[in-house]
Amino acid sequence: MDFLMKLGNTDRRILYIILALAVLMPLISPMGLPFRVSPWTEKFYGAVEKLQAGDIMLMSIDYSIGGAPDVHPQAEAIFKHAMRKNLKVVFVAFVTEGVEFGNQMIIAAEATGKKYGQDFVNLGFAPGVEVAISAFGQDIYKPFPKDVRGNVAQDLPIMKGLKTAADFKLITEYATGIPGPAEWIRQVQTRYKTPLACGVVTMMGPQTEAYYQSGQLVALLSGLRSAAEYEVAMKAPGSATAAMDAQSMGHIALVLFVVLGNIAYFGEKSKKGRR
Amino acid sequence: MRKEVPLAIAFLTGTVVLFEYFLQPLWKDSKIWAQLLQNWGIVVSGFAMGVAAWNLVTVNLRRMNRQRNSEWYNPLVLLVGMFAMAGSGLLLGEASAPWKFLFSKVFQPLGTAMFSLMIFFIASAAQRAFRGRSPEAMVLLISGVVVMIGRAPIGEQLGAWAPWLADWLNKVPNVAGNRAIMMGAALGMVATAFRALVGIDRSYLGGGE
Amino acid sequence: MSTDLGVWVAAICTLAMFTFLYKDNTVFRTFQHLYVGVAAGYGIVFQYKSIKNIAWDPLTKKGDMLMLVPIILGLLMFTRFIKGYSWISRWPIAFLIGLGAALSMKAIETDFVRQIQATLIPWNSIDNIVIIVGTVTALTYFYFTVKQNSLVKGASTVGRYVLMMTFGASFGNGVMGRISLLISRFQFLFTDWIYIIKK
Repeated sequence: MDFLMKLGNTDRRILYIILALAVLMPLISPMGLPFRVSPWTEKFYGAVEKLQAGDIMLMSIDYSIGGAPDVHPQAEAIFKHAMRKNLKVVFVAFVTEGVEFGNQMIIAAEATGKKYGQDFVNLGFAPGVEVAISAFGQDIYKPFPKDVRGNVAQDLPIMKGLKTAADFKLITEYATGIPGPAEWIRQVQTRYKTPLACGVVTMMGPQTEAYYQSGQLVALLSGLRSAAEYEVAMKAPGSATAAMDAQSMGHIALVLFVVLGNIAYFGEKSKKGRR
Repeated sequence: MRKEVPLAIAFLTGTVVLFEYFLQPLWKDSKIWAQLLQNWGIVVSGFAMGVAAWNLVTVNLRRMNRQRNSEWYNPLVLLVGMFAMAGSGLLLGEASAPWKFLFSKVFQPLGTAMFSLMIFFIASAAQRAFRGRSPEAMVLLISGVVVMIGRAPIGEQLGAWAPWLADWLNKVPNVAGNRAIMMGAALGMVATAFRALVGIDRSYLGGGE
Repeated sequence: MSTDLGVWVAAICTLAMFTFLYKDNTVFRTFQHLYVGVAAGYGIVFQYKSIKNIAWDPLTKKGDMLMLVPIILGLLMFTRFIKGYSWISRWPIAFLIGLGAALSMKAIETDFVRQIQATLIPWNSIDNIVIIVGTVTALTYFYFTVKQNSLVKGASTVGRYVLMMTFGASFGNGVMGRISLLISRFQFLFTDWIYIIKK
């Protein structure tokens, strides 16, 4: 009885240490567990792969600092894929942090010889969330008259021929909350029928799945696991792939805690029943 | 007039946008007006942040009273951080070293670390409170465990059934449940929006004068 | 160990946050205040730039007088701090509420009609049957005002179990997402700060 009670009421700091070690050890000493590429990731990869060189893709970086480690690897992998295929990428953000995350990816690409203003552009941030997304859909230049470097957006070579959301070949959005797939579907996808693919934090995956199955999204990525799968699909494993062993062990730790808690609960319950 | 004017503003603004989306053939110019209103909305939203910032500054200046607060230095830290970040961005620009330093070495680590604390609390809560007390709780518990194991690479080592079951849970019953929630939420959203537009729901006006 | 100042600052910020795991303390609270301040400062920069690019420059450089309207409306928001005049701040708020309410009404098409369409699938596989039955029974669970006869109660019970599976999936996915945040912090601490993990 005492042992079961102790099991059910373990000091939370011991649980924290076990969890931290479970996540840390595979990072220090990787196990190299293989994992498959899911049909969701294959769909997203295929949506980018079928674009031709010179096609324009939008990347809306709508994730906040808190959820960035879960979504940023997806955006990085997809941007690398786009650069590999010589697509043109327009970055926008409807969350302030998205501007800097876009800048980080652009600076890395410039180091490989790609040109700002021709291969990609960062139009910056527009406040208003859904209002701004709706305005963007109707006229790209109203919420984004200038880019982050102070250039008039309309004058940039990459923006030639772009006027509304319908002019993009593919719209990709990366979100941790609001704005997210729901806002983009309401304001842009339903109206302009532009193919929309979203990358979301793992927690949003289940609720966004309904949009994917109804055809409102052409593709959906969910969390760090999807980013790792995308890296594998591209044959370019990176930080997301390196994190998968730690993810596995973290899950095992959580499952262990749940199982131990329930063993303690049912054990106490049956002992009380016997009395 | 103090309540009637804002109610009229909300009604007229909303009506123009609704006309543009749903009834455009009846009023061809509604598109131009709706676009104009939305562009104005972006600007007004920008000012809202200014209000928040002003409020933050005034509240924290009041909190810096040493006689009343033992941790009077915390509001000072907040204000220094705020002015340092805003100052480096506005005066030196986003390409400047101080801006990049503050974003990548202060803002990003603090934010990510703060949110990463949640997994520890989830772990502690899972161990203490996530019990199969009823059949429904058991179903919830088993679903959660199956998804956790099936979606991790280690689950694939247990056999093909683990990832298959996790995917099935995400694709089938999860979609059914979320669809129902989504439909209910959509009806609620539309009802609330309608109530706000016609002035039945006036909570956004606040109390008092 | 790294000798880069920036890496040390980031490591100290990270560890300061992690001190909360032991117990609430002044170090955590101080760095928490720093986070709020830096976040607010960051937001101010981009909001200012947006207002300048979208409204101020067109008004002052191109003579677009229509931009006076949102600028005045925006400034009226600050009247909430002036005693006796705070009722004026309702006007810009009402403007934003009207816009937001009208835009959100499109949910009737995207979240209601389209989802019903997506549920009208053929009954030719177990997955399809589960989705149709699951959606209908989960909706029945939320239908509290109908008379609870045995059919409705039965459907409601099935719907409750469907919702439990939904929430279980959400919990599992939520855990996954949070672990990735911790992994990223550990990757930074033990790769860039203390050289334990090989790059």
